[in-house]
Amino acid sequence: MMKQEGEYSSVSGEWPLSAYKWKTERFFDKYVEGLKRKQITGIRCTGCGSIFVPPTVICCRCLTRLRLENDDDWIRISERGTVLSYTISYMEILPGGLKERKKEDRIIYALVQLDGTDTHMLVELRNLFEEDVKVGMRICAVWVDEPKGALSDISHFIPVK
Amino acid sequence: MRNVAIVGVGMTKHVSKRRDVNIPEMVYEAVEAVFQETGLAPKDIDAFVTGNMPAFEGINTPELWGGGYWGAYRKPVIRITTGGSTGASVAQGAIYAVASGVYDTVLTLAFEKQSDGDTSVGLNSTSLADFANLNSYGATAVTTQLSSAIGLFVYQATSYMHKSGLTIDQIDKAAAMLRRNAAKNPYAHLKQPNITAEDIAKTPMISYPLRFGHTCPASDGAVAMIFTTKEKAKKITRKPAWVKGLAACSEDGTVLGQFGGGSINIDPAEQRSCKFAAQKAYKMAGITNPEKEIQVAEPYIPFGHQLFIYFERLFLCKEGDAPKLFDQGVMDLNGAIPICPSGGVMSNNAIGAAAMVRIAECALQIMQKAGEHQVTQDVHTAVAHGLGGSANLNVVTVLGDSPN
Repeated sequence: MMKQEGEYSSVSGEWPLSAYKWKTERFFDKYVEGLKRKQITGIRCTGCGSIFVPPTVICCRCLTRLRLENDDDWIRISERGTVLSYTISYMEILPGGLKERKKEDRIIYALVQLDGTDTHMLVELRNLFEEDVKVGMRICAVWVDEPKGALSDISHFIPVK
Repeated sequence: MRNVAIVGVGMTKHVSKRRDVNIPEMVYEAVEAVFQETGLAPKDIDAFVTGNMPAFEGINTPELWGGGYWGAYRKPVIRITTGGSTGASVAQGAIYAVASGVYDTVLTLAFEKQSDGDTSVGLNSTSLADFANLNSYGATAVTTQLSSAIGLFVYQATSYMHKSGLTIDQIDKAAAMLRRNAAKNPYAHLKQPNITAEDIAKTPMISYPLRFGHTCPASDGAVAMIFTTKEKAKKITRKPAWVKGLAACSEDGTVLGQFGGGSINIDPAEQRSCKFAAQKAYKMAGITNPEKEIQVAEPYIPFGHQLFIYFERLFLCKEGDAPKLFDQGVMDLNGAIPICPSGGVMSNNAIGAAAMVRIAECALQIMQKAGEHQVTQDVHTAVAHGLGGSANLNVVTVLGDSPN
């Protein structure tokens, strides 16, 4: 049996997420250096041979510490890959709730496995109609005009034959 | 391992906003119910295991300030928090304690009062480590897209649809079935006795292939259970539910790997960790043919497409057969293996409680105390499932009507 609605009160003040810190290890440094040269690079685990793009610190398959500082362990990766899954974002997530996008503003996101790698990454897909996106389709990276050594240097992906 | 019996379940009715109680007052209702159900009192309880997602309400260490409302003072207390799977992990914590002989009688409780807080803020804080790294290297768009649960599960849905041939129409039907089941469950939040697939189909698409009608509500609610030994169970109830097997398994995140690195868990729909946990739990339970030996399942389904995925990943049919079997009525309340007769997480989602409710519902089915949503066939064996993290932690618990 529920009682009458009670009174609620809040403690006023801010609790900003920016108060929290996380040591980021700088383990993307070599990866974004590659992006600045318009090259995608990955790191190979010396324990099990898995190839990670973007890189990671400890191989979660075999618990080997990856040799991020060792140039020999980094390899050039193809800009092409295969779509493993995708979504089309119909709504924008705003602080106050969801807002419907206009049809032309919808965004296609895809999980892509770049050729020769053991991992996937989440990217934006452009230059195609919504109804033409397919799991298994081949896509290719498009670079920004002036890469600056950031994850945003890969602007998006587009379909290729 | 010692046999472990579930002798009682206490639940609050779940609703979108409990404005008449605060968190400990709400939890007290579930605790009071389980004591009434079992005839036990705080003096009979050796230890407490609790869990919720404190980040969602912004109120931390609930075990410190809530204990006085549970009868937990001067008793051992442990809190376990594993995301969506929290409640299942809490229950497994109690099972470890009783099975190992450390304690005889353990009370578990799990809860969430989502209306008191901001789930989006809480979810963001769980992703802080990934986002801190990605943002420090200049990524923004992708992290924004991922800052809600649906942003993660859509990839699971698309991949599974591609592999199995599941259609959006079938997800509509599954969502409607779960909401109709919930209408028979006195504790459920979203009760829609007459809802049809067509009604679900009219709801707007949020992120392809999932629409609003395919998603779970945010609920306020609590659940409490009592686990005890074979000897003590006999004195409490004529028909306890028995723990037959349990396992949990985690793997790399399904969309982002460690701190934004590439994930090796490349197919979000494959759910190897669920298969691994189910295999271990079934082996412990002596189950060799789950399809034939299990009469009811309560998988963790916050999004409609997961009805099909977890039916398969819990080995209740061959991979890829779930959509066909669903259409044949196998998963209906009176089907061969009813799925979520309670209405599931799709109808009832107090996050910390939700995965323990799955175990509680299986126990009620075995004890024949589910009421209007009691399935028609006798339940000898039931499987409960919880899902946490980035769809990368799966917790499986098998219950039965006889001890091991």
